[in-house]
Parts: sequence; structure tokens; C-alpha cells
Amino acid sequence: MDFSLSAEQRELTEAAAGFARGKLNQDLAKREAAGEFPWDAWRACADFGIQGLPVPTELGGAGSDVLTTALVMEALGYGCRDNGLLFSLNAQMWSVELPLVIFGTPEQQRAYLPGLVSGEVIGGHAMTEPGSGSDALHMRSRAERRGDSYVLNGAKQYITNAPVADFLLVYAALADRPGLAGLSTFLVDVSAPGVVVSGGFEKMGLRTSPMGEVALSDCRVPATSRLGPEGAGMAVFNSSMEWERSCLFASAAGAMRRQLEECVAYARSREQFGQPIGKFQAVAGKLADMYVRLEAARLLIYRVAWLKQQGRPAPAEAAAAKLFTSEAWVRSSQDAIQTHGAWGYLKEAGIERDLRDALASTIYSGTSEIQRVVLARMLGL
Amino acid sequence: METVINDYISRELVHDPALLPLADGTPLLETGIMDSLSLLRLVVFLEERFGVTMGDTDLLPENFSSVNAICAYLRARQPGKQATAHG
Repeated sequence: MDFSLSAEQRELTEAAAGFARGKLNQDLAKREAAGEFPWDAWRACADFGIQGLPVPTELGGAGSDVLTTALVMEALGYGCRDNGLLFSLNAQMWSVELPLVIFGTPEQQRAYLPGLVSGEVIGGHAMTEPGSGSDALHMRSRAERRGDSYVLNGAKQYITNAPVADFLLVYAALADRPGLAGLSTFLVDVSAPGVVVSGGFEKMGLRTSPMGEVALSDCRVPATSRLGPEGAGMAVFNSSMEWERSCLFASAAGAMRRQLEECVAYARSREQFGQPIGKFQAVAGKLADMYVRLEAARLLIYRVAWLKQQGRPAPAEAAAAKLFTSEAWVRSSQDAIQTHGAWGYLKEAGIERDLRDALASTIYSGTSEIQRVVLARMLGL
Repeated sequence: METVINDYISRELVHDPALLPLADGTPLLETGIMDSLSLLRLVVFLEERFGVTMGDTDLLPENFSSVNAICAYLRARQPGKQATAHG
């Protein structure tokens, strides 16, 4: 088993980390306090090629393989402290771009992917509803076929990117086909009549990643806006979640690597009782645990990336990667604060932000509780 | 093939004894036998037993609506060849 990176992967990840450190952290404290979406950084990422990584070259992307894309996202997480920006990027890449690549018609791909890749267009994934969060597939939004169009009615909640999106991937159940067999997916422009997007949620963390609500009221969309055949909604959602639960968390692994390096540097330099605090086992053991969590997370993530690269479903592996990495990131973020003591607790140090951002990761893409349900079911329990 | 798949679904995915014995034409989604998680378990089983690789676009309700539908889907994946169970 060869775990080494190719020369090209090494070069690309080093470039991505350098780009992230140099271009994506400007004015972060101020932007985070204001809950401001980083438009300049978003466009800079597009210029660098981030949004285009998993998109085929004929549609303007880089056509990178899954492993390489995940490695680059890890490098971004390592260099970029704006976890909100990375969350918005990842949300678009794995639950909007990839569904278009996998399920979209050539016309749909040509209509949306070039703009997503260039950064001129932003997409959002509209699944969650007030009455269906973890029980995502039992939604109330309905799509009624009328001639060559569908009429959508419903309400979506906690939709990442919605306040800045140009279009949304909306899930709705067909009115004449109850249950999972009728769940379908639609590409909906936010400017379409009958769509109202509202934002303004004040979040604990990921504050630069906008989140909003979407109201659909007799919103008519052409039948050509349906993504995949009627009833493909479950397949689209399962696919999105597998990609999110693995590749999205590559950025979290990058953040954990950054945290560990900063903690090691601090533990080697900060002296108490006449020696660096890293010499005390209570501190050293904490950093050792951070290292183990980081490496275990990376192995889980990259195994899923490898499986997806083979074209194979990886539901258990993705759930395990997501569950472990998200909880490891929370724990490592706590350890980073603890290692830095009172300084780690201050906003100006920029260390406590990671904990506030990491906590969301045990909730989005399916809560930790749901990942355990998935794993138990996959074990046959 | 029908027997192998019916046995697996009956043993691993059917939780209501009133639904047994399972007919090959029983609608799996409407009866609640198949949900999103049990579908994924079934896919892993089918990949291992029949040596097929299923992509995201294969996981459509019509391919898994009944034992008969599953078999028709697998046979269409291997035209001119009967899919055989491994192991």
C-alpha cells in the first residue's frame, strides 16, 4: 500500500497551502465579527482553481481525481483560518457541483458548471426543512407536474449559501408519488417567481458562511430543471452526503494539522517552572493525542476518497470518516485552547474560533447521532 | 438470483414478520422494507455477491422496487451473461 503523494500532488498541495495562507485570511477577525461573506476570497479561490477541481475539463474544471481534490482541500484547511469560507466552498463543491457532474444532463452541466467553476455563480443545497432535519427524506416540500413544468411549494431551512446563491438544488416529493420513490431534485434560480430567500441567522461559528431560509410558493420551474429522473432525489442526496462526509472533512483534517503545529510550537517555547511546557507529560500527552486523531482522520478520509475514486458506494466508510473527524476536530480545538491557556481563550489569539467552527461539524452533513445510526444499520443492527 | 436476493432481503431487511414470506414482486419501498439506509446495505451485498460495481446513478427507486426489479437491473448490467453469486 503506497501512501506517498505524487510529485504533482505535493506541488499542488504546497501551492494551495501557500495560496490559502497568503490570500484567504485577510481581515478575518473583522469579517467574522460582522458575519460577512468573503466575496474577494471566493473569487480568489475560483481563480486558483478550487471550485473547478472535481469538474471535468470540458466544462471548465481541472478534472482532478478524488484523492487529489481531497488533498488540496486539506491543504486549504491547513493554510486558511476562515473555516466559514471553506465550509461554503465545500458545500457547493460536494453537494451542488458533484450532483451536476454525476446526474446532470449535458445542457444542465453547460448551464451551471462553468459559472460555478469561475466563481461567478454560487449554488446551494436545499434539503433541510423545519420539520425534517435528521429525518431529511420525509420532507413536506411538494412538486406537482403540470405539463412541461413543475410547481414547487414548501419551505427549506438552514440552507448554506442561500443568501448569496444564484441557484439552489431543491429537493421535493412528487405530489402524485408518495414516499421515497417520488423524491426528486430541481435546479431552481433564486430569482424565479415564487422563491423567497431570507438570511440573517447569527451563528456561533462558521460566521462568514451565510445561511438562510427558502420559501417556495407556487414556484414554477421547467421540467428540464429536474436533476436526474423523477424519483432520483434519494440517489442524489445519498451521493451528496457520501461526498460531503468524506471530502468536506479533508479541510477539517487540514485545520487539525495547523492546530497541532501551532500547539507544538507554543509548547516548545512557552516556559513555566523553568522549562518548556511541552516537557510536562500532561501537555505532551495532549499533543500526542492530537497527532493520533489527525492521522486517524486522514486515513479514514482518504480511504473513502479512494473508494469513491473506484466508483464504489462507501456509506459506512463515509459515515465513519465524518463521525470520527468531526468529533476529533472538536476535541483538538479544545486541546488547542487548553494548551495555550488564557491566551487561547481570547478572541484576538484566533484559537477559540476553531472550536466554535468545529462544533457545527458534528451537526451538518448528518449529526454524529445519525452517523452512528448509519453505521449500526450497515452493521446489520 | 431471485432466491439469493429474496433470502438476503427477508433475513436482513424485513423487520415485520407479517411481510414474510416475501414475494419477488412485493413493492419494497411502499411497504417500508427499503429505506435509504437499507438500500445502501443491499447495494454493498449485491456488489459483493454478484461482482458488480454500482455508481451513484444506479441507485434509483425503479432499480430496487422489488426483487424482480433488482434482478432485471442486474441482468441488464450483464447482457448475455447470467449474473452469478460469489461465495
